[in-house]
Amino acid sequence: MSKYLAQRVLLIIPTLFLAGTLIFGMTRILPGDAASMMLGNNGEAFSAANVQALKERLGLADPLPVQFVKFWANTARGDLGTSIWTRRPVIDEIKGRLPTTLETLLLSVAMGWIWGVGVGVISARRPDGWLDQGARSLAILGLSVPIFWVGTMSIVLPAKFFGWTPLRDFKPLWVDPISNLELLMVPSLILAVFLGAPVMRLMRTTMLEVLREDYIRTAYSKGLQERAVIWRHVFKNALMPVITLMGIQVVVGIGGIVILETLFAIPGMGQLLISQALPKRDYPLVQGIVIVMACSTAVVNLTVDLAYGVLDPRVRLGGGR
Amino acid sequence: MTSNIDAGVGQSVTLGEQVPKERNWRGEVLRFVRRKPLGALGAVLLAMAMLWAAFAPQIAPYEFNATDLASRLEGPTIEHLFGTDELGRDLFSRVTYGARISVTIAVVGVVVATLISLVIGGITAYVGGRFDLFFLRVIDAWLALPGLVIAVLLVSLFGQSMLNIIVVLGVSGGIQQSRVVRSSVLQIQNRPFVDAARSLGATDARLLLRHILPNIMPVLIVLATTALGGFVLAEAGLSFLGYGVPPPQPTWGGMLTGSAVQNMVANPWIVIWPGAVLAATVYSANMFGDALRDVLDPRLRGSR
Repeated sequence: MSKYLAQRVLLIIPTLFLAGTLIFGMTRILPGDAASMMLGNNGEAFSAANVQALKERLGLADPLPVQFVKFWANTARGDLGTSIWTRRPVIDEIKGRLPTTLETLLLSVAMGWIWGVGVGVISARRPDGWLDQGARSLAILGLSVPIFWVGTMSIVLPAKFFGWTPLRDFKPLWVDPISNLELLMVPSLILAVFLGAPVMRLMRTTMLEVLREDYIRTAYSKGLQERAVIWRHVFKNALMPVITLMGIQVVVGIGGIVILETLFAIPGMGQLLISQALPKRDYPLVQGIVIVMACSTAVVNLTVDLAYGVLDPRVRLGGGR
Repeated sequence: MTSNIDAGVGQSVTLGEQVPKERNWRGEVLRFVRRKPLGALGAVLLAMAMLWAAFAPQIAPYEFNATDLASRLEGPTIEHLFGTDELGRDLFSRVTYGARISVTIAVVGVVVATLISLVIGGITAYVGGRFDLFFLRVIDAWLALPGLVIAVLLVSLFGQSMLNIIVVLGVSGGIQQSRVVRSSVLQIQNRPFVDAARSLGATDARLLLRHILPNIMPVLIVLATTALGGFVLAEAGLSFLGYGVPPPQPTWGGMLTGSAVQNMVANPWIVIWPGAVLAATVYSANMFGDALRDVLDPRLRGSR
């Protein structure tokens, strides 16, 4: 087990290094750099000398390889630099936003899994029955309807017909849990429908696969009740492959959260990125946000791998990959 | 043979064994329609969306930018099928022109993505060794980055234009799909018939193009169809966040932001139509892709 664990943990390092390097490369080729934008295009302030001076202060004047080494030296120590605009450490900017984003992600992934796994199991009991057909069509519909549209509708329709508008002033969970959850519940639910759809589809498929195994026939023929067979033998084995979806879900979920935070004016990381970091070309902030997102994905993937190793001995004895 | 697929779990049967070669395409299509009516409906709707986009200037009753301040924020009427927005622009015409952007970006993007996945997947699987290992890490790293965020970043980098959006979506889609292509190529190239061809003196290029490519076609078709709906959604998402094809060109995602948001309570039709058409298009693509997957490649079932 310890060999498997070491292998998995070590594999995360090249992945994160490459991901960070990709981000570094992308943010450096942005046209219209932060220095010229901060000075604005008007008047004497916008002279080549001023831009150069500002660049030097921001550390953007160094040659790329130097910037690259500095970037990694600092990132490895958990120092993500200073925001060009607010002059505050990036890590502090993100810290204030991270809990809200994580809360939304957690709520929606949890609700998505509850409906996905539950309906997947029920669907597989009577394949091609009306419930199965309906559930599958709904799952595909869930994957097809754009979340920003559902979000918009959830604001428009109640406002039009009941005169009800969602809360606009956001309060953190620890200040006012009720109003916080009231605000986050609608976007989380919308995202959950979307995230649960692939879970439902895969769960159904793996259930059907396991149901055809010989040991299930054995379980039935030794006289076990259907419920016992399903829960004790089918469900556990069918759930295994579905767990791997978790990593992808975090990536997809973050994309959804970026959209929903913008739409519902929730002060999370996604909103920080879309309404502040990107329009102002705040390189360190963009970098920091994407690195934090990539790290969360990597951590979830690692957890999934480790859980897999614990739950299924074949994985760790097979020597990893 | 076919009952294997109908039962929904025919994973062990591979394509080459179950479909006799001499079946003609008309019979295939009829069989598909009979077995997967919803999938066939999806295909028809998708084809209609493409025609709609192609003939937008003939179909749209007004210019997409023609304003008519006398009839602002109207609900559906005979003159304005979908109603009008805050400038009195005909929503039906705007949605029709919006179809052009969505369909073009999705179709061309899928072609780009397929070619890229074919090149990366094919080469990594065929060359193998350290090259393969290195590329797998790069792909893993890419997949750890949130796709939508990277797309927004890249579009803001290279500028908002149709071409750039196609390239950004195509490249990131291609990288995602290349893993599936890679594993299919790996599977095929270990088959005895590939060894046989090689020992007959076939070159690498010939092996890849004549023997391996035709055998991974089902996988490619399924991946492409599934990606189609995804690209329509991704383009709309970009437009929604303000990183799509810039105005005045109407796009489905763009029609849901900006001034639409201020006027959507006064006239909900402004936001209902673009979203509904968008959802219907993606739903058709997904239903078609799903049915194709069941028929062509049962092994891919359930994965997105």
